Amino acid sequence: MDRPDELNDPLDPPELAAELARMKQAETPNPELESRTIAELRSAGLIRSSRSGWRWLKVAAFFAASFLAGFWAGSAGGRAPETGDRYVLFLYGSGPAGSVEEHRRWAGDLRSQGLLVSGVKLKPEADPEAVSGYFVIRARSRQQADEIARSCPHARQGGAVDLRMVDPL
Amino acid sequence: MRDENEYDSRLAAEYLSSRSEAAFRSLYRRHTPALLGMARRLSGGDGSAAEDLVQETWLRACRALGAFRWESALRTWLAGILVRCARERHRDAAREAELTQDPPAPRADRNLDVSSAIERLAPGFRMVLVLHDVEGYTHNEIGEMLGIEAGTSKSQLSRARRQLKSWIGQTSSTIR
Repeated sequence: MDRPDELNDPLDPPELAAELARMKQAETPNPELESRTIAELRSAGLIRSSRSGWRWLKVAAFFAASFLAGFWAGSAGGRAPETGDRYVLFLYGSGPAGSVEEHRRWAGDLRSQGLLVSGVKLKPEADPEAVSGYFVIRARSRQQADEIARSCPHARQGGAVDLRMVDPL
Repeated sequence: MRDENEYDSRLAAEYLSSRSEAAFRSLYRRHTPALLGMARRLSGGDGSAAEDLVQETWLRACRALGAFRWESALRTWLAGILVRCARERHRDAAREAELTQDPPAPRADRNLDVSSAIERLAPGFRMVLVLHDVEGYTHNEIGEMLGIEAGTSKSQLSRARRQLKSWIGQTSSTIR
């Protein structure tokens, strides 16, 4: 960062400067805060209600040769998955061009919150509506799992997804 | 960073087009961890106040997002909103002209750890010190966020640092 106005303003001693800089840390939000914020935005008319039955929607498939490539890359780094039930998010059909990066970022965001276990891309099938990949996530509740699934780029773009809870045998 | 802002831009457009909850949640989850950490530092470690600040920040951001011109990163814009929310709350709670007053003496004069010393700084001093020395903003950026001159930010920082050092047992003779 170009900071010309800082040149004559260093903090001394350097150890103190370093200690202050180390304090710049992100903080995992309480899920309740997200719920409260959503509720407030909804009451203010700044968010519309989610549609129901989205999990079973199957829309026209998008065609792009690179769909899902590199999903797993979003799982690199970040925190280990937090506690909670495991769910599998199945994605059907191919996605639009450019969706790879969106999925990678989305997966990376989940990973940073400790919500992503893994993600897998499957080789394309002749059937354009075949399962094309899946994510394994952790969630404290079905509601949270639903929210995560709805935020998936594939679902946001109208693609068909299916959320299933892992049987903890 | 540009790619990140382009992704934010797409999410924001998706949110604005239909007030999409899913798009908002994506934006929220991308930026709230950083905002919450910053809010806690600006609130002197008060977690409840930090959450209130973040919630208020998103409410204001969603109202103003359509007017955001993307001349800066979305994170920077959100941080500016958060700082203004924090300042308003401090202003409501504190005595008049807190930014120009000397901070109150701590319960102990020396040898506080750095975090405790920051928490005990007066809100105005704490804000400038956190924004500059922790978050890494320039005096010009802080001035824009707080509606003060860059020189005022600089002088506030100098006083905040001097106070901080005296509380953690550092000599103040090396302050520049």
